Amino acid sequence: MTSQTPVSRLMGKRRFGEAKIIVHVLRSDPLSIFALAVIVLLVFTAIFTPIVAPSKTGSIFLPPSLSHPFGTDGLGRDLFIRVLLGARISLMVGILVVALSLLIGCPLGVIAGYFRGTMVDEAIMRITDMFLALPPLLLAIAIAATLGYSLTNAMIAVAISWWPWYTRLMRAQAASLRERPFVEAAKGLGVGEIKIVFRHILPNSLAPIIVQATMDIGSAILLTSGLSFLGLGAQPPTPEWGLMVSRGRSYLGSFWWYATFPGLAIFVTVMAFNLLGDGLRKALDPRLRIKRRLF
Amino acid sequence: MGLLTYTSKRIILSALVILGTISITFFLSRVIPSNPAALWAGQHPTIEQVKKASEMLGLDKPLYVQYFSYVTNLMQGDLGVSVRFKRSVLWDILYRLPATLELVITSFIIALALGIPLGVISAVKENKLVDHLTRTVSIAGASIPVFWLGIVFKIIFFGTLGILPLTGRLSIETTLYNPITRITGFHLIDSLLTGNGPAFIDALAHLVLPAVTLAAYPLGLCTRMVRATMIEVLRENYIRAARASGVSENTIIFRYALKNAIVPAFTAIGLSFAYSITGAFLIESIFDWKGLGWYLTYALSAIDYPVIVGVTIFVCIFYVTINLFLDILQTVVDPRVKY
Repeated sequence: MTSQTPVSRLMGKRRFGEAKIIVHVLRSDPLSIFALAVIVLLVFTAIFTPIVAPSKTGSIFLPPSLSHPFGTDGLGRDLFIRVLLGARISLMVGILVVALSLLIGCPLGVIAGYFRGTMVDEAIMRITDMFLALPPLLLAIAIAATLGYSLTNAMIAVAISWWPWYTRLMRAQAASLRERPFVEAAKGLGVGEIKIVFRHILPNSLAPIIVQATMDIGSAILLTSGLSFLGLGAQPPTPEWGLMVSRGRSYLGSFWWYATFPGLAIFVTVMAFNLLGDGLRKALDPRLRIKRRLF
Repeated sequence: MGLLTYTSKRIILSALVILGTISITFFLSRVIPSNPAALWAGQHPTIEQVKKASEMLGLDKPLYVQYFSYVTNLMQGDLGVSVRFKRSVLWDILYRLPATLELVITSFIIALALGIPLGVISAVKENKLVDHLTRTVSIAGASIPVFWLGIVFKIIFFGTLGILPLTGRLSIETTLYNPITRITGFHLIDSLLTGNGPAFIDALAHLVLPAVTLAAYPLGLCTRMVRATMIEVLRENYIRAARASGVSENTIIFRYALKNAIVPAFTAIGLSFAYSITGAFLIESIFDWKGLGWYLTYALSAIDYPVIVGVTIFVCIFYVTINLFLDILQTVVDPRVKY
């Protein structure tokens, strides 16, 4: 990743060039295009299903058919509609968890990076190490268990185990940006340190963070649905995918569709975010790009 | 900085991480509104019973006294007593650990046996169709919800084909007619040691589905790591030199390149081994596999705090120790690594 110096017109052009390269590389990668299409479709589903979807019911445990593409559940609810309704919940979960992690992780990282080598940096990074040393699922289970079982608490639990990654990434960014001339210029003009950190360094180090955050939406959805599956997250009758898989597992011998379709929805969603993230990383990694030009 | 300084610094940091985890879980478990003493006293307790239980559990003392005695007990290996089972948590954990390890180790053998060759093929055929396929498969491995994959396998192999057992570690017939004598707690090893053939086959049949399900994530990771390091190594000059002097391609790949590619890959793979233990939690809950994860999920539904905290701390120590061991091992094996 190249870093950006604001104001300069030259740099502005370069940023545009970068965007063009990314678009070009993404276009040459059919999997990424496919992933992007899936995500766009998901966003549409998330926005419009709750508005237009009829509340559809039938007899209990109907196998998939034309009128009920995914069958019905133990209360006669149409699973297709419920899976579509779940899209809104899962996307919201993914976005909110990542947003919350960014909110905790970025300020800490930018402070640690700017005050690199001082006690402040040392203190922040040792706490970060402590959280990084724990497997996220375990930490999330422990926190969700103590906060009480609900979707909101599960999201908080996942965010608490996720923010350290952003602190690390942000610290590296900020540490390199602080050596830039524009920071020195701001200092020379007598801008206060806090203002430099949050007005100049933070906005300029967001680009790689955003790429990482996009990829993490998928992982956040996966982790939170795992908590819901264990009974620590969403509670019935929420149409949350992990919870639906957990409900359906009791009937897997006789009513295979109950657990299958909600789980497939998680899989497709997470896969789409990971594929897009992988494509973006390929496009952004300068080393890979140089190889592309050489061969 | 020398290796010794580095090692001792890492050990101190690891100890701090563990102490931090203990503190976090302790204080979190004390701020929740539920009353452990009432749980301990059982259903419909009198006020005296609850008071007696809270004296016995030390809950009437100030928080810092409780914390201090909790940490002291932990240092002596005492993780407390389960509220429901009224048994030592540490004993329960050690009793169930072999089941989890048997599952995790088997899944890792599967992941490595498939992942390393796939990674090598992918690297050799970089940007060819095979490479794109492995890339998709390994991303799928990281994206698939393991709890769902387990269920799908169950639907296919038990429901439709009827060739593999549904849940548990052994079938009832085996526990009745060919019971396994517990030596190590690993069913496969114990049945081999006692020459119990039918039990070995039964235990293996029960192990296949959960182990394959659990292998999905490390398989993807292993493939990607080996592919990445292999591509890098294949660009080195010594490989070019070997090619130029007419060494056969197989020798170059497996004797020259793989050896150097596998060391950096192993650190990441080793970390995911520790990671898999928590992945096993979900798998154990689906397959009714009575290991650590099963114990934890049980405690979660029964709100048995000493067990939840105990398992968390135990797994944390396990994870941090593996992490530490790998870091030190890497600096010893690979002198290029900077401290």
